Amino acid sequence: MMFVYLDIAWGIFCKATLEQAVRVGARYGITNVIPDPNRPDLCASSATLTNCITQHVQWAAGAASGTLLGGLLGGTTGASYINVAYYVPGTTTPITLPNTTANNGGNVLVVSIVNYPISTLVGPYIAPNSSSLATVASADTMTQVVSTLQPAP
Amino acid sequence: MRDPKRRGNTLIEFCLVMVFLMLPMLLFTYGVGFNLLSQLEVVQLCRDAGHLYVTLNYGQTVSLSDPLFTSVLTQIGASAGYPANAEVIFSKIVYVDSATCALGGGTGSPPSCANSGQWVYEQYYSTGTKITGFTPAPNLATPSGGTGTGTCGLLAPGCGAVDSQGTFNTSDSVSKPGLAVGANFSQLGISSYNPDTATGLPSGQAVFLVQVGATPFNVTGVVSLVALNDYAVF
Repeated sequence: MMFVYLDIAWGIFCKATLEQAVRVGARYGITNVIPDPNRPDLCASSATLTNCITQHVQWAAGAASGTLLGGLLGGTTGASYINVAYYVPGTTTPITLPNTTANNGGNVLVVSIVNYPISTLVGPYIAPNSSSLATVASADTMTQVVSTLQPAP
Repeated sequence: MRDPKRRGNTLIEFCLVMVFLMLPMLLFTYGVGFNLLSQLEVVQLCRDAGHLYVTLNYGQTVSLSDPLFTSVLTQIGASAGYPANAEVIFSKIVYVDSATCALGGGTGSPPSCANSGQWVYEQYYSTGTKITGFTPAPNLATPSGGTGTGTCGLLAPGCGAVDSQGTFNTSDSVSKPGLAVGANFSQLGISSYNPDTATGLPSGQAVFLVQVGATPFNVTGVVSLVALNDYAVF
């Protein structure tokens, strides 16, 4: 029973952390600026906005800002769960990158974490390799910036 | 040495404690835990839907009935049950002062309208599935005779014509009693402009309200909630 309590608490913590992470990614992403002037250490070498958003999500989920290791979404494995998509109003198909117009002002940015496996404490003993899959998303509208300052998406 | 006639007492006590105490506690924790998870989704849906609503409303790049808007809401709110088990309501509310009244066709000096001095709907749009018997906080009066689509003037006192986005004519907003928001608006702590103290919202400034209601996870006899809900004001 203690394990069940711990598992529920762990699940809620993970979900809340992932929700916060995508929200941080989306709120940063819509500023349409790289590197982030408030976190220059985070993705100063990022060539694209998408990459910088991914690093923000990883950092917000507990990864170290320098190495992007640790936390719930650390490393390349963690990054693989993060999905950044840009939409043009009036369409429901995300813009295929690289497309320099993807992050134009007025487009909709959706940052999501898809099918992240939340491992439980009890689960592995009942059903090996079991985990609950969590999907979270956050969205907002891209800010219009001067074209010469607009980063690659 | 234990009396043979008293053997098994611990087993019976264990069973009773499990059935009447531990099992309900477990189910309660399970139910509350799942509802807490869903509430996180509801809050996220409410915030992001509100952000999109406001930014897109001012940018006029996407309408509420745009398939992209619906698609994004579905991505954000899937875990909260949207669209099958959750409802999102978008409202644009303004205060009818002299300037707004005049804008809506009010005459006189100062202009007089039926809704003068009240907060009224300029837009009311509901999407998703309404939870029966439940109105998300802060329980504002809904436009009389309409649900945000089609003609909204069938029932008295009516709210005039409304387009597919749930937008009402300004002349109807200031004159149709069915579009008044009601007294519960004061719960939001928003006041109209007071020229004496220079406080409150400027004339014509709209309040964007987003309300979300979602079906909860109930465990019979242990957890019984009517709905999960949240609202945000922009």
